[in-house]
Amino acid sequence: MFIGLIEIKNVSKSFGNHKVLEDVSFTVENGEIAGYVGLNGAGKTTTIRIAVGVLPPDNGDAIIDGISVTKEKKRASERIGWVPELPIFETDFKVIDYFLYIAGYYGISVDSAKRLAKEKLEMLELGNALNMKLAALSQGMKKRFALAVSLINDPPNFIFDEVLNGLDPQGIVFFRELALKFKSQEKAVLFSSHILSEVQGIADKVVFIHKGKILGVYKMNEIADIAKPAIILKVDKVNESLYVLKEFGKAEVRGESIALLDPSASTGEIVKALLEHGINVLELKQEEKGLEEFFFRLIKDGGN
Amino acid sequence: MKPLFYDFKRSFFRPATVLSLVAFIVIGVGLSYIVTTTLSTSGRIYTEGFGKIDLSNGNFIFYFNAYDANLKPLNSNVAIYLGIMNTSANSLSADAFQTLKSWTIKATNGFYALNDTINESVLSQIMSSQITTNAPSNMIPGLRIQVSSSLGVSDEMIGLAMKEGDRYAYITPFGGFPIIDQNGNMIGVVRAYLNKDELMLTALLDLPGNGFTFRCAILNSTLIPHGAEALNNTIYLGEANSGLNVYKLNLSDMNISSSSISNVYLTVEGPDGKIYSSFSLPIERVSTGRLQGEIESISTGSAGLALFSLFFPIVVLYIAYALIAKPKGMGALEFLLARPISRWDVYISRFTAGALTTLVSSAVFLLAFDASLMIITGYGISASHLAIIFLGILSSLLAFYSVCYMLSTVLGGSKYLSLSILLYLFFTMIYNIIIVILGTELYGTGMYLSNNFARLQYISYYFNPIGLVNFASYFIGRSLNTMQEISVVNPYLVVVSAILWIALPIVIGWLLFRKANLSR
Repeated sequence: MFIGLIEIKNVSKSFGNHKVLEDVSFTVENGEIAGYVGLNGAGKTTTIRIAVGVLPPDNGDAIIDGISVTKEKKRASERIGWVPELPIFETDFKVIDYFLYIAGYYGISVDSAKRLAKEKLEMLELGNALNMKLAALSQGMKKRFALAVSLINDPPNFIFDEVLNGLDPQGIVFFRELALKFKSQEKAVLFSSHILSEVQGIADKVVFIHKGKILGVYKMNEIADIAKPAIILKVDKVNESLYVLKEFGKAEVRGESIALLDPSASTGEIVKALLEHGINVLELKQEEKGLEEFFFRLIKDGGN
Repeated sequence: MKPLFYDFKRSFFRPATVLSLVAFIVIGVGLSYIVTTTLSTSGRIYTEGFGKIDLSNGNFIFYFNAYDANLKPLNSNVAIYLGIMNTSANSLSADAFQTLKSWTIKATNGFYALNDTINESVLSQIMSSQITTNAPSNMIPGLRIQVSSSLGVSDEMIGLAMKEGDRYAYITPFGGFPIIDQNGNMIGVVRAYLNKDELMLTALLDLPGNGFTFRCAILNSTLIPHGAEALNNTIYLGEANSGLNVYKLNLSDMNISSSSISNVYLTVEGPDGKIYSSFSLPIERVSTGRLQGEIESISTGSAGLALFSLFFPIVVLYIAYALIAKPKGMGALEFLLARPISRWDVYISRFTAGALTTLVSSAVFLLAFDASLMIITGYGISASHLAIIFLGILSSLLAFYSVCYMLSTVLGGSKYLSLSILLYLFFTMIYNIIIVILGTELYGTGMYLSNNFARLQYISYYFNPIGLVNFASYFIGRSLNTMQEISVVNPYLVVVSAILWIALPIVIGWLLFRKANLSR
């Protein structure tokens, strides 16, 4: 029995002698947004190409709603949509013609496809571009067109590959909201990015990949817990403070302040302890250590 | 719309394909004119004419008829000149004929009857040239008839048979034999053609009234039957009228062997019993397939349809580029493959689209060529030969397309273009040069080179995708008896070669394409 609608199972891929993916496995479940985060060249796009069936893996498989991409590619492809980072189309086509052409592969008649094209393209603000050549579309328009084409049969699974790259703020908001909308429709959404903060706020979990290997899969609340913010204090007695604070975590002097890393108690308890030792707290703030630091620490801990 | 038809539509209707096809159709029409030009100067046509001038009032009547080599009525333009012939001058020289009056007629459907009146001045010049004792003996009145048509030309100069004191000056019949009464009065020209078992008799007659009948005797020698026997043994053909009369007899129906007859004897009988008769008229044996053969031979020759199979591969090469090499090179097939479609679907659908484009282009070109040939000459290429040419051109183009398609699965964009153009040049030029060098090295330049070289050439065509079309020309040449048999040409091997040239690259291409990285 399969768990999760997008399942990447032990996928490996090499290009020549260069190993791009090594035993990559993770799942994206129903009604879940999974962030897929890694540095450029980590293997995100290769994983996604294998998942959508455009690249055969050397080993392993991608399973979409229980259907093997390598064995039943056509059926699997009917159940997944894909918006690539830089969609590339055959540029001699007009927008409407390419839509109709692709719709043909879904077995949709010309009349129905024309109606569908009008509906989807207008919904994605491409209604005026029907007769434009695909080569003339901007990056944002190309992504929206790729989305429109992917929505032809409203698949239950979606993959966005670095889709926010190159978009204006309005475009970024559009795709983030779209991912949330898909989640509310119980679709499984894989949202890849090389910047962890891009998936912050929308992802339920994050799959970290580095140099073709999965570093870990973390729920967002786990990440928040692990990536606790440091407490920055300004006190009147620095040396005494260091003595008191070592009970609550690792304390280090930063100029005129003291940073308490990974505090083991709440801010209130720490301030109370300092006051009990006659130390006045002049200033107190929390440092946002953040997701990126967490990510880089993961890479470092990964030993690579 | 089915994606296959979309792929076909965009490969067929892309500017490169359409413009090339239009260019080739124009070339096809041009080729029809080349065929016509060749035939019009060397083609065989049959013309006949008869006429007379009424010396009392200048009335002139002239009947003209023409057939092509297949005995189909010929459309022709005829220039008729009445004047004085200089029989001692070279017929091609300017002073060979002095024109006094001329007519230009268009003989559609072969026949034309000209009626006109000659003015007194012309009439007197004609009469004086014959009658006046001062006139040089080599200056006689005559008629020059120049016929031009898409299937041949003719130029006849004939004298006027005039007797002093007679009312009529007869224009000596040309193309056939006169039919006269006992007093030498001439009523027309007759001619006999034999095509297989069909004897066709034609008569251009100028009869003094109605009620005339036409009869003939079929002879196996030049001897004419005499007396009662003459009329008893003749066959009634039908009524005879002024103008063109055509009669057809099927010899096998009459148990007469066509090979045993040599002459016919024709008579025209008036209502008053007066008999006009021909001489013993030699039969003209006609081979009706000759014209068709000539047309097809010119059409399929190196300056004909071979041009299409030589140059259209460039378009084929480009189609493979547009359908696979270019989108693959830019990474555009990847987005397509993310749809509910397998690699095999993309591979075979685009191959089929290109193959259909090749098929339709070849068919359109051939039909356009054949149609223009029909319009200009009245003759097209026979259906069976057209089918052979079509298959030859198609297999040749498909074989080259398969090779290009295979290349397009491994090479993208400019690399594909460079290599496929190199391949085109290799198979159309370099390969043939190698064969010539090889032939010379193997057989020298002596008298035995020709046959051996032909064999070597045809062997080489088995190994050249673009060379397959030469087998079609060969089979047509054999069928028309215009080519010698070449032992190495075997129809089964030709079919096997074509199938292998088409199928093998498709299979190899697929093995490469199924695992190819389609990302940019």
